[in-house]
Formats: sequence, C-alpha cells, structure tokens
Amino acid sequence: MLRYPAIHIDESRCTVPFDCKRCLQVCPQAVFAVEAVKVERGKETDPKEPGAYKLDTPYRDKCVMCHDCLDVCPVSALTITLAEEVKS
Amino acid sequence: MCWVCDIYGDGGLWYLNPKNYARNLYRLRTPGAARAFGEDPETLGLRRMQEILETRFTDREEFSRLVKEANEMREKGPFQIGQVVPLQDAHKMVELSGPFAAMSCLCRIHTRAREERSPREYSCGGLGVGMLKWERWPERYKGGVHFMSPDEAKEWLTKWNKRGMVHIPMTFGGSFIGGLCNCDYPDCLVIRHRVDYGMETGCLKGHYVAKVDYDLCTGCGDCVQRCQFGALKLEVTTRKANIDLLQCFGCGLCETGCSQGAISLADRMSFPMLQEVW
Amino acid sequence: MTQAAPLSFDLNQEMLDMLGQRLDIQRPVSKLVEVLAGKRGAEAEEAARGIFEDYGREWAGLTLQLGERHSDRTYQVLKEVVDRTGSFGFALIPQRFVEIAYLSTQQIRSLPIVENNNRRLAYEMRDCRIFEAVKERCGEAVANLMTCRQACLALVRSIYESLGLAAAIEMEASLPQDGCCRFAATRA
Repeated sequence: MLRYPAIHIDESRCTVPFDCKRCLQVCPQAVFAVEAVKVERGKETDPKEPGAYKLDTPYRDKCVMCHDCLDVCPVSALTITLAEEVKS
Repeated sequence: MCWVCDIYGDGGLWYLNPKNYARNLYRLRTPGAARAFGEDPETLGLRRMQEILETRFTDREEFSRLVKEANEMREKGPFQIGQVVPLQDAHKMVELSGPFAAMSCLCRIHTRAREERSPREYSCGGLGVGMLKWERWPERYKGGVHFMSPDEAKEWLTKWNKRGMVHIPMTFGGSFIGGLCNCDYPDCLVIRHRVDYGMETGCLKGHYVAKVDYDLCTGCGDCVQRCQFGALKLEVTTRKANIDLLQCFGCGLCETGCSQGAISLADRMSFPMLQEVW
Repeated sequence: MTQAAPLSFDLNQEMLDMLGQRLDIQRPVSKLVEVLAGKRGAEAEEAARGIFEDYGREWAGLTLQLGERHSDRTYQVLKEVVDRTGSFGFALIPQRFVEIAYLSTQQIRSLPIVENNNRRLAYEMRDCRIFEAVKERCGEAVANLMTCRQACLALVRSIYESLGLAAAIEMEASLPQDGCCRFAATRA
C-alpha cells in the first residue's frame, strides 16, 4: 500500500501565490503548480489581485516532507500530513 | 522512422516536413462563436493529461491503464505530440517556420511561477502565423513576444543549448508544429510526464542516440550535468562517460557540451534493438 | 477624446462582401460559353485562356486594392514582423491576399495552406465554384481541360508581381486528377 503526503493549502491565507512564488521556487521536488483562475481575452491577469491565481500540488507524490515550503510561506497557509492509503 | 513520421512525415522526418508548419492566417467565423480560452486542442489535451495524472492518488491500477491507453492513442488522442531533437535539427526547423517568436515558457510559469519578461529571458519558441495574434491572450504570452529572423532564432536556440536546455517541437492541433520548446527537468511538463509517469506522446525519444568515443573521452565529466534524462554518468572504474543507449533521448546536449569532440550522434535506426524505442 | 476601437484580427467582412459582388465568378464563365459557341479547337482554347487570365488579373487587382485599404490587426502585426526581421514576407504577405481572394469568392471558411516559409507558399483548393460553374454550363469535358487554372495562376502571379516579389508560379495538382488544385509560388 502506498501513502502520499497531503498538502493542504488554506486559500483564505494563500491569496496571491503567483506574486509570492516562494514555495513554488524553493521546493526541491517541484511539487507545486500555479494557474490563473480565469483568463480574459486581451488582458493579463494581475498577480497581485487576491484570488486571481490558485496554488495546487499536482506532483505531491514526489514530496518527501522536507518542509522547506512551510519555512518560506509568509502567511502559514500550508500544512502537510500523510494521506490515506492509495489503492495499488 | 518513428510512428509520428509514419503518419505525418510524407517519407521523411515529420518535424522537417514543411506541411506541418503551414497554416491559414484567416478563418471566417460565425459571429459570436469565438473560442474561449482553454477550448483550444492543446489546452484540452493538457487538461486530459492532468486528469489522468490525478488518478494515481486514488487508484494506481486505473492510472497505469489510462497511461497505457493514452500512449497507444497516438495521433487519435487529444494530446500534443512532441519529440526531442538535437540542435542541428532545431536549426533546420527554423527555416521551415514563419514567423518565429521567442516568448515566456508556459511550463515554467506554471510549475515555478517564473516570469520571463524580456527577449533576453524568453526561453520558449512560438512558430507559425498564430503568433501574429498573440495579443488576444496576454496571460498566455505573459511578458510579450519577440519575433526573430531565422538567423536570430538559430543564435537564440544555440544560447539555450549552451545553457543545457533540450529542444522539443510540439504540435498544436493535428500535425501543426506551433512550438519549439527549450526544456529541462523537472519544470518542463512534457519531460516530467515522460520521465516520472511514462506519458510518452509529448516527449518522444529522438531519431538519434549519443555514442562516446572512449579514446577521446578524458573523463572530465562536463557532459554529466547536461543530461536531463538520467542516461549519462561518469563510470568510476573506467573514468569515462557512460551513456545508456536505452535511456538516451538523443538530444545531443552531451555532444554540444563536450570540449573533446568525444561524443557524437548516431542514427537510432542503425541499432536493431533501438528501432522501436521511442 | 475618444479612442478608436482596436482593429479586429479577422478580415473585414464588408470588404469580403464587396469583393464577392464585384468579382462575380459567373462573369468569366458566361464569356466562356459565348466563345465556345463560335470557335473551335485551338482558337477556342486560346480565347478561353484570355478570359480567365483577364479575370485572374482583375481578381488580384481588386483584392490588393481593397485588402490594403481594409487592414486588420493580424496584417499590422505581420507587417511589423516583416519590417523587424527582414524575413517571412515572401510567403506571408502574398498569403494574406490569396486568402482574401478565395474567401471572398468561394464558399470556404478557410483556405488550406500547405506550405508557407521563406522559400515557398503553396495552397490547395477543393470544391471550386469556378470549376463547378464551367462543368455545369459547358460540360465535364470542357471543365476537365482546366482552362480555369489560368485565373488562379494569373491571380497568384499578379499578386507576387504587384508586391515586387520574384517568384516562379506553378500548378502542382489539378482537381479532376488529384481531387484538388494546388498552386505554389517558389522564390526565384
């Protein structure tokens, strides 16, 4: 049975991930990704607009729980726990 | 020849077939039927790939099955097709494209929130007449685009090659080649999806493999850090570079990084056991 | 002060409608019907050739004139790119006018371009209204002679000449034999 870390992002705290980018750039395993929530024709999304970008962890299966991201997060938005077992 | 050449090559390498670079400038639209962002074939393909990748957190068997199915879909699937090419082939591609623009890498925006905001920083290549309409989607082309003559584009590719980036042409709908990316692991999605998760379509192995001439290799190790695919190491016993040809993607970065001329590219098809390894 | 609305990336629809009206494809075909009634053999073929060549030149002239007058954002950026890089003009500037020419007179939503790089421009045409009109009014045997090709050849030749680009213009495939016509301009 496999277990993966579950990385919980508190979106009420993590509001401008693209502008902040600390966890995205510090992670040795590159588990994070960031994306504009909506893209408008003819307009660049403002990285400083709260909620315009969303942080995600599509590669969390690579996380070794080194906690570097927790150390650099300025708003304490991240928590990492071991997830439920995965069917394999 | 690889399966992409069989389908789109017209007898030669698919990414050197001029047909795969040609596209109309205009299309008559039904009023009000403009496509929203994210409905283009490449985004739909990427979304499907992300959905498949997510299944590994719930059901590993289902994940393996979906990956295998995706790899076998080939041209019938929704996925972009990409293949590793060495610098000299990337230079030939430039001659077939019109126009050629440097722009910010979408993968690095996505995985590292990395912003490239000047021609000096742009690391991704956009090909074809669609680039003329980039202003419609500034979020996609964050930081603008920089159009280059073929000679400038070759210099630009050489610069990224020197820095250690792998060149990968990508299709954008059918066989149309709309991108020539400069990629590395782990921030480039197609390399990561291939190396870590076995999703092949976006990052097929190239038509070459790298061979070391042990008489010329001095064991300096300069090539080691240039391999993005884990195929090359310095063999401690012989103190020579060692390339696992089954792992080699044929990008040629070790070749261009070798000051002794000890590494050269050979045709993948000349090795009976590599002819089906893509 | 009001700011002008940004130009669309699409072709100006009024321009396309205007070209469609002024370049009625029935006109050369009607002339062909007249000519074929009075002439035979080589003489008829020579006359037919003239009719379609004249039409092709007029087609190019009007397309260039109106196409230049009604710009769009795609064309503006294209011209900037050609100026900036000194490249890509050989295929892409003529391509715009070739596309306008067919989109305004044929029942297609887009023109299949099969090659557009610094050396060559090539495109294909299926379901051609001119070919169909010749077939309908003069019969399949006359249509299959493909004298109508002179219109397309003259169109592309005139566009390249008017833009001052030296090119060899050729027909590489024809509808009756290959299922589509293919025309190509290769840098001379």
